[in-house]
Amino acid sequence: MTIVKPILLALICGLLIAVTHVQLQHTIADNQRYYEERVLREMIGDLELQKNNDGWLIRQGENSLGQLSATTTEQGYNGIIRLFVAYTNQGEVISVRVTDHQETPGIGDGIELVVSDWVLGFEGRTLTGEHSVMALDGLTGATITSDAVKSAVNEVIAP
Amino acid sequence: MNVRTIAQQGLWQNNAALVQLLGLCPLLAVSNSFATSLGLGLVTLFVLTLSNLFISLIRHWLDEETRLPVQILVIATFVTLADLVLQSSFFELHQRIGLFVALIVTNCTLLGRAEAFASRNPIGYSIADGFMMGLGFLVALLAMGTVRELLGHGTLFANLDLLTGLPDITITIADRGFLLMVLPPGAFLTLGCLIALKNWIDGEAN
Repeated sequence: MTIVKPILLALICGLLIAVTHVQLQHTIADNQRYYEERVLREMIGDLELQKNNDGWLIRQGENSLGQLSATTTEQGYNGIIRLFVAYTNQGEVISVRVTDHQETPGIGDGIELVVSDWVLGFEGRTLTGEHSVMALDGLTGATITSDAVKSAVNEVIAP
Repeated sequence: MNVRTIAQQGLWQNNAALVQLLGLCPLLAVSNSFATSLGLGLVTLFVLTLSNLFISLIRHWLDEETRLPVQILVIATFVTLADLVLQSSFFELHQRIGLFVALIVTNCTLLGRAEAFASRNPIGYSIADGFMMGLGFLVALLAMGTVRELLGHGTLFANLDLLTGLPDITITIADRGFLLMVLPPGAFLTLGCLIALKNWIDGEAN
């Protein structure tokens, strides 16, 4: 039966991948955690983070300044977009960072800080008014992607 | 058949990207900066060499009917392993090009060399062919990456330190560049010009 050899090879390859995965998974998890912490640090500087139900409470000493939440949206062009949103107790955005996405490189990937400054435009924006989140200009040529991120941020800061 | 002709074929005469026009999707997509070009090019080179080696190793064991799916299986395995290594040792690079590392499986260069060369030739030559074809692809990628980054961003080697752990040697010649060059149309234009340049050089040499 000619199917035997492919199946045998598939089992060997599967085993090889499984072994490698097990060997490397801790390092990979550490990398992901380190990367995430670096992003959080960048978002709020020296302020303290305290884990709570919705993500993290942003504190300075005894005072609670705001909230940092992780959220996702599937309204993008392709797959899930993961982002962190830090905002004050008054509903003003402190900062936004996108950590994971599969948007189109060269077009939608402008939501990443490494690629473009766009995401910095959220800082200081609020739910309503002249400087509302939804009033932010989208990325040129990436309407769906930027709208998805804007909506996600809007939802987070909404009470 | 010797290593010299294999090298000539892989690097110039039968260059995977500029002559065979294989692997255009990753070529066009990641070549908008030198750093990402280098990253993906090296991973492709690595996987191509290993897959050629392995397929040459099992070439007498393969059946005619199941040859192609088995080759894909081998390529997919090595790509998965490469991606895992990338996630554990070069995490920043993975964040940038992870999507395209997975797509190396669809790069026709790999299946093409497996089918046309590795499944019919001894291990030594197959390794050489995989390496040279991969190197030719890498060189094409780097050429594209250099042009597109310089014209599109006004920089060269930007983010190289972040992505590969090498020291920062960014050269900045302008504040901003010609946006078109980092978008898909610019990729096509650059590739077209590169192919034209190669053909011109070939013409002049004769």
